[in-house]
Amino acid sequence: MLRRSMIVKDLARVSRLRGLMSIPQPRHYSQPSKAVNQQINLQHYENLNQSTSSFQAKYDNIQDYGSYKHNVFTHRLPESTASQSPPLVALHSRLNLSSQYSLSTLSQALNLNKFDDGLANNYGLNILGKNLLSYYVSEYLLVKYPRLPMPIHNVAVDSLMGSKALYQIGKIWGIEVDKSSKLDKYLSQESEFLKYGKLRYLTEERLDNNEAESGVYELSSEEITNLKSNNNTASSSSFISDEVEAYGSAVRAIIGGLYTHQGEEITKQFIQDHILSRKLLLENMFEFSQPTRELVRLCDKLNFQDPIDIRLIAETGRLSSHAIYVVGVFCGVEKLGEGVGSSMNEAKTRAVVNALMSYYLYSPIDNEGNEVKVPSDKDYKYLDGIVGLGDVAI
Amino acid sequence: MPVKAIARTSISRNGVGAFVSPCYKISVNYCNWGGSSTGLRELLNAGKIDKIAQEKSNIIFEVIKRTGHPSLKFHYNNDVVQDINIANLKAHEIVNKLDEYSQRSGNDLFKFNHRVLSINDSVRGVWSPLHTPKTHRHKI
Repeated sequence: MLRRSMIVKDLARVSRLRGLMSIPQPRHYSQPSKAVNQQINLQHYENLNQSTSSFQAKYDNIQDYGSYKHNVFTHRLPESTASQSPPLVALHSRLNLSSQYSLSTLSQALNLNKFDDGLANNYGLNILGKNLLSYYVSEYLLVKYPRLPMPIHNVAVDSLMGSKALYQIGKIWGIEVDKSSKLDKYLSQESEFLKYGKLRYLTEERLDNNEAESGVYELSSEEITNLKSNNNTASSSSFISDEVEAYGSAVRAIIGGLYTHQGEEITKQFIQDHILSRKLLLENMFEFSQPTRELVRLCDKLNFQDPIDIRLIAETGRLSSHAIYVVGVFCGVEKLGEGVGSSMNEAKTRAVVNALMSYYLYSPIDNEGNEVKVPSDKDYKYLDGIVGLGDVAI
Repeated sequence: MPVKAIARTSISRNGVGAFVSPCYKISVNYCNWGGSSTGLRELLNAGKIDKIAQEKSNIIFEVIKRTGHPSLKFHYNNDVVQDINIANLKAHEIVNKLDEYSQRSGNDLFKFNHRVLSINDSVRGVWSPLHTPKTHRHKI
């Protein structure tokens, strides 16, 4: 009897919560007189007086700004509560974080919801992590590949720390999304601690509209605008879903949290271990439109005296159906590149592209043959060849 | 524009920098009544599962009471879930299963009969018959 009454009470609470969540959206009326329009808007805002706006501002009168009061108080999760969340403790251990990194910060890094339960979200940590990441990633790329053209450099940065890469990293770390609504949690008697170790980005409203079929879900308004803008400009493959964005944000926030708890050295090591250790597919990122012309311009810029010439090095089976030609690009006596193709033209293009790639993908080494140190390393020395000469224009 | 860029996502190399174990969650399903769960119940009563969970602190353990044969569900980070039936297994056999599957990658096992498996280019390059002096070249 007691149990049933508890359920009834709580269902009432849940339905009340749902009532709060289903805020009527401001409607756009087809321009009646201005006064009427204003009146409607006023009415709408007066509805918000029941502390339903996202800032939960309260006021006696909408035009009396002095009476505005914000009553959102965010707090951090107590460490004792955080330590009872199995996914959180496991994540802490999976990432080999030291005990200085508090579990409550880790839980905060996984919370993207603005005003959920009054818990602090990862907004600040995310920005901190993003800046740290872009510093270390671009430093690494600029020093390791000083001659990379600007568009390739940008794509390479994205390939290491773009949302898609960070999504994969978040998945590898075993971060799960909290996909059950408050009602589901109550009905399945799920422990409240579980959610503190999960990625929380779905609002209660979206959680209620559960997936009818796995893999099919309703896009949020941001996703729809993102999709539309993508359709207008580039291919839709660059569409990034909310989930991917949320994972990226969580990973960045975890890195930001590491910086706040353990400082720069440890964060740098962490970024090297988890992000810079990934394989960059630089060779597959180039798309040349006029490679021969570009090579000629490049040699001009580098003040090569001799003209570029393309010579046949070897060939076989010219009269057969499977001819092979080996072609080299030369500048005087120096061979710049070499290519193999089944026609002279193909071999020539491959040779030119090969010459361009070997210039662009140059990576300097120091006297002992080791990789060059980056400026944030301890005894960094400036070496020639670390600063690129800039791109060529055709 | 001289060069256009093609977006490619980098490929993870687990273990090159940091190693993160691919198995992140294990659900232990047991039945409180059936005879096939005897071994698992023994482990649970002796607190052995607790001990294993403490040793494997990077894996979430979830113990679920459910009627039917007992099973172990291993969740891997490539979205694979492996359900292992442990009906009628003895306690030490279950521990072996836990050890074995928690160290797997989640990929299917396959017969590997090549010399090298790598995503890197060959360091030495590929031998070419056309790069020998003309006098030594093979003629058709």
